[in-house]
Amino acid sequence: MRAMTTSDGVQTEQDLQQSGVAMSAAETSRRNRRFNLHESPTWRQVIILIVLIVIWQLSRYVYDLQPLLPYPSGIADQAWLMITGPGREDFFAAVSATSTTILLGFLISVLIGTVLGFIVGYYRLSRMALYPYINALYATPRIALLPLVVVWFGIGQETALAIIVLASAFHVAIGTAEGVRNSKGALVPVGKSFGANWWQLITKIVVPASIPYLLSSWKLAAGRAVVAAITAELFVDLGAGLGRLLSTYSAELELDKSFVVVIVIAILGFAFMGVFDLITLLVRRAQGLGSAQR
Amino acid sequence: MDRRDGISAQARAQGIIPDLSGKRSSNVKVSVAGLSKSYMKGSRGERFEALRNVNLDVYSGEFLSIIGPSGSGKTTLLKCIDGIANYQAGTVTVTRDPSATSLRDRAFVFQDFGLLPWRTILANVALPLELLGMHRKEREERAMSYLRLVGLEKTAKDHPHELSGGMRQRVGLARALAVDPDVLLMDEPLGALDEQTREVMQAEILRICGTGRTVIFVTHSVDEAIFVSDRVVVMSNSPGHIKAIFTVDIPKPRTQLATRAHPRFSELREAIWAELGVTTTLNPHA
Repeated sequence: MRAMTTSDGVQTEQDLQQSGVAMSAAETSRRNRRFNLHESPTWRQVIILIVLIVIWQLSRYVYDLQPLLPYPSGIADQAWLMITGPGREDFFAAVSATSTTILLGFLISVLIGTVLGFIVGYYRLSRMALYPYINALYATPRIALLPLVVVWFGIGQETALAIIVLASAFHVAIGTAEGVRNSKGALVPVGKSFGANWWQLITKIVVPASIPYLLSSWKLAAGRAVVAAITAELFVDLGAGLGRLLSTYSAELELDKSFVVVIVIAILGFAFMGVFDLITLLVRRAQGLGSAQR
Repeated sequence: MDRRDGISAQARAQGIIPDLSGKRSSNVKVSVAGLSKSYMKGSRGERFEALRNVNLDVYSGEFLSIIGPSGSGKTTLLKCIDGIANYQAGTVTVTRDPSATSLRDRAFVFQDFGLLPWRTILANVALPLELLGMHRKEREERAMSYLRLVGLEKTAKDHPHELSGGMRQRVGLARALAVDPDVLLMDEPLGALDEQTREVMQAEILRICGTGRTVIFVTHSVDEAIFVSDRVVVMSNSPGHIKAIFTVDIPKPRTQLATRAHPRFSELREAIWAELGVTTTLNPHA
């Protein structure tokens, strides 16, 4: 019988296996190549940045807009002064105050959003009951709630934290719910079929399956948290902070300094979101997915 | 042996299938009695009757296929037998052999493979053992032996996305077999594969589970059902019920070419298509 089976299929099967192995080898090499190439767009991006800065600087000799528009040379001078000059403690205090607020607000958002998202994603009844409200709040411009938040929380760090949570917790909740729901559709039945209990379903299936969704929602939330923190600082005087610094310099028409602050905020946001890109890459590699599409 | 089991039209309409093989009934492995299931479907909340009063006995060591048009409830029936779907009425009884070495009485092979993409192939096969609390070394050794059975021991450290569809389903099969189940439930396991791989896999499934293991196999393909099965159950829709049962009296072991050339193959093929055909003319949209 085995011999007959051989004439039937084993030849084809070997071909299939070989093509399978070949595919996996191709996959590996593609992954490596992708990983190396990952660096290569960077220099193009840097060149574009340099070209833009040079054009900006040179435009001054065509039509000088100072003091309405600062120029890179002036901004660079001010930046150097702010970082090394006598007022540098104030500047670093502002950076650290804002960073702390962002990080704290983000962590609270992740905590609230993950719990909420999990409940909404895992339990069908709670999804039906809660999802419309989460979506409604998600769509509301939460800046509209700022005056109310000030009334509720007074003038202090709590206000900034509340605004950050309002701005970013829903992103986390919706991302988490999406991830959990996705795993529920395809993979939770597998676990159930093999007798997994509730805890095993959560730890061995739902959580690992949701991780890509969690990470992308955290990245989004991180960006929102930076925006919300600066918004809060611009509206409410929380003492030290980059937002406060920005509004002070703008009021004094110190546009060079304002630009330095804007750039610092941009770097802060970029770095914060970049952390999640890095974590995503590491997790994908740990999960053996490489940079393959998923 | 004429093998349209003699079921009266009335009995068929009521979904009552008499047990014709009294001598084998002592060996009933899976007994489905009076199973009914309905659920709300669509936004208007219409009640969809997926199964109505399904009765079926599956014998020990039997390879049983379930075939039928979409909506006839064949996958639902399989999921009810596995216990991952609930039902409103009826019972499913799986009789365990007291001397059995099985770790679980049922194991399921999924149409879309159901592999966890973040786990290695070995860890995927070991999943059911891990859920049972087996220690790492023991479960990995056991998983490896089943990977060897399906011929994939070299891929143990790979991840599912690195494998072809046919290889992935072998992993799904190895995972289900790892618990040495009393009953193996397969839900259109080859549905996602191309024709060539499919035929190779049919022979593989027969080689691996065709001897002694009780298998319930859901498929869309009449040829596939005849090739792998001892009996073929034909289901029909609205509501889902068993319409007829055929016994495939083609000797085993079977091979693709010899089985297809067997005179009974085309007779059974014609008879099963006739059963299915009635359904399609009645429900052109099914």
